Amino acid sequence: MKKIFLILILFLFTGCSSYIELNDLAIINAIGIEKVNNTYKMYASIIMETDKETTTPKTTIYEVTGVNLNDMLNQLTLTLNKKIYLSHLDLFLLNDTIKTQEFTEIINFFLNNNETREDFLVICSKNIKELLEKTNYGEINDLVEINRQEASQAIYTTMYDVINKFTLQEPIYFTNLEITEHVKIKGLKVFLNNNYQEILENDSLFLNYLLNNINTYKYNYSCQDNKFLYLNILASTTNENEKEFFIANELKVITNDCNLKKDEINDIFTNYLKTNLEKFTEKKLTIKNTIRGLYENK
Amino acid sequence: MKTNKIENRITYIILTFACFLFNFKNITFLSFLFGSLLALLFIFIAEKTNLYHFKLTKFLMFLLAIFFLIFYTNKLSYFITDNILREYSTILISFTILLTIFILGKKGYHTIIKVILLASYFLFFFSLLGVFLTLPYINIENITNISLKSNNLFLESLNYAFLLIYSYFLIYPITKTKFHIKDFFLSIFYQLFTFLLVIFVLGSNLTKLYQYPYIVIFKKVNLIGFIQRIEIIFSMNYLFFFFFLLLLSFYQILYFLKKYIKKDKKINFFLILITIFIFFLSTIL
Repeated sequence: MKKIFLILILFLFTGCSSYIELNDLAIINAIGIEKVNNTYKMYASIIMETDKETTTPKTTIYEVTGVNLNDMLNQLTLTLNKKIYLSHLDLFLLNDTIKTQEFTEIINFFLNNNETREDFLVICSKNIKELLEKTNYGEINDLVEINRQEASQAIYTTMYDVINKFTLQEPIYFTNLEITEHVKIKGLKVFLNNNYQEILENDSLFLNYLLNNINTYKYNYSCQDNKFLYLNILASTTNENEKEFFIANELKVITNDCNLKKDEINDIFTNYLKTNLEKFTEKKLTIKNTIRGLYENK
Repeated sequence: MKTNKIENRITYIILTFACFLFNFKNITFLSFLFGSLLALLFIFIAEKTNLYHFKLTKFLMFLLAIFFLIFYTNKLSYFITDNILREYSTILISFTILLTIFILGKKGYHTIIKVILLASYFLFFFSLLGVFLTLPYINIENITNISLKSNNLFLESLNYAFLLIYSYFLIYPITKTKFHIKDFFLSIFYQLFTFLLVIFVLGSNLTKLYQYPYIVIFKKVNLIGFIQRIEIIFSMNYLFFFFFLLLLSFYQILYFLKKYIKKDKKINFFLILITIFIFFLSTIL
């Protein structure tokens, strides 16, 4: 009798009762949020079907309004006959209207939602709707990631970083995107003390220096008669204490048409960094360059 | 009901680890240190004075076991509906947990230990696998952010010490075996290792914010774009660790009833009554 009872209970946990078809899931891969007149506006990019020829997923943008994120997701279910599924969320867009109060609500939502993974990219843009309509989450993710690795001007800020920095009341850095004909990285945006501050493309490189976010980038210096010195910054680490920044660069000389010596290359690059970094900090800067490459042969 | 020292060691490690996992948010580095010292001191005194043989201790452990079952069946059922079976109600989960505990618990201590030993191979294998999978996500900078601050160091240390002492009373006095200090240090080492792993991956601040930080670290795992979304496996690990703590708490109740009630039918009657009481209270919490 006991065994029959146990077997009957096992049937309750087969998963058949809560079975959901893949087609019945509204898989959201990107969300854009802004606040207009005390109500939120959300743009959700939902995967509808996959193109059989290109195998790229087709997405549709849904626009809903509400008083908070949960409310907007509920509103979304009114227009969709599918179950909202946030586990594949890969991109989160916001703009200047999202400030302290809004961040608190958004962070609470993600901290209490076990379905989502907070390792998705968070970016800032004035044209949220256009970005979602004209591009896709994959393109934006790749754009930021490739720039971060090759030019070190973008920052790959995830929701984990946002939650961490916001609760610690530290500045949050977002990559700022704009869209005209194509999507373009327009420097960074910093959120601190309920305000956003814009940092342009060239300056974002130097800010990344102070944040120890430099992966690699290229530097060129022109001397007389259209001759150039090309350097490839292979690696860089920045350590900070109360009074000082210690920056250690590993440089590779690509072209040295200017016939500069090792010490001269070191001075040129150190001066270049110092002049550009001084505007961001009043702390003392100690720069150490390790130079290798073909400068001896030239 | 003698068990060998390896069985005791493994069971003690599993029980203390379960306690540790569910109190992760309330444990800081200092409370961990002070709590374990306090627990060690108390366990030594309990060993020397045969504390468990006092009627009052047995009665207190009986009450504590009921409290533990009420409170943690509720917590475990919420954990399951949050992470594993999202579509099911907590009442159904609580019912299943308590029914399984009731059937397994009534089989006796030796059966429970054999089940724990068998499961320990899988539990420790997955714990080890978890360490390897999360290694690439370790951020050494997080070591500088380890927070030594705590809201109430005394209460946090006391809470942690209580859990270690409670786990001790569930095993050693019942099996009438000697407590080995090696068991204690191995369990502390295992917990400390996990504690540091989570802090290295998530950082001190995020560890405090998340409800289940040990599960969140596995959400980060993405190896070669293929091995990802594996937190469900580790949620199952989490579930089993905790299931065994509840199982031995249940056995504590049965052990107390067997001591003072001679007739089997009466024991069964009281046991069913207590289980129903636990079920109702755990669902309305």
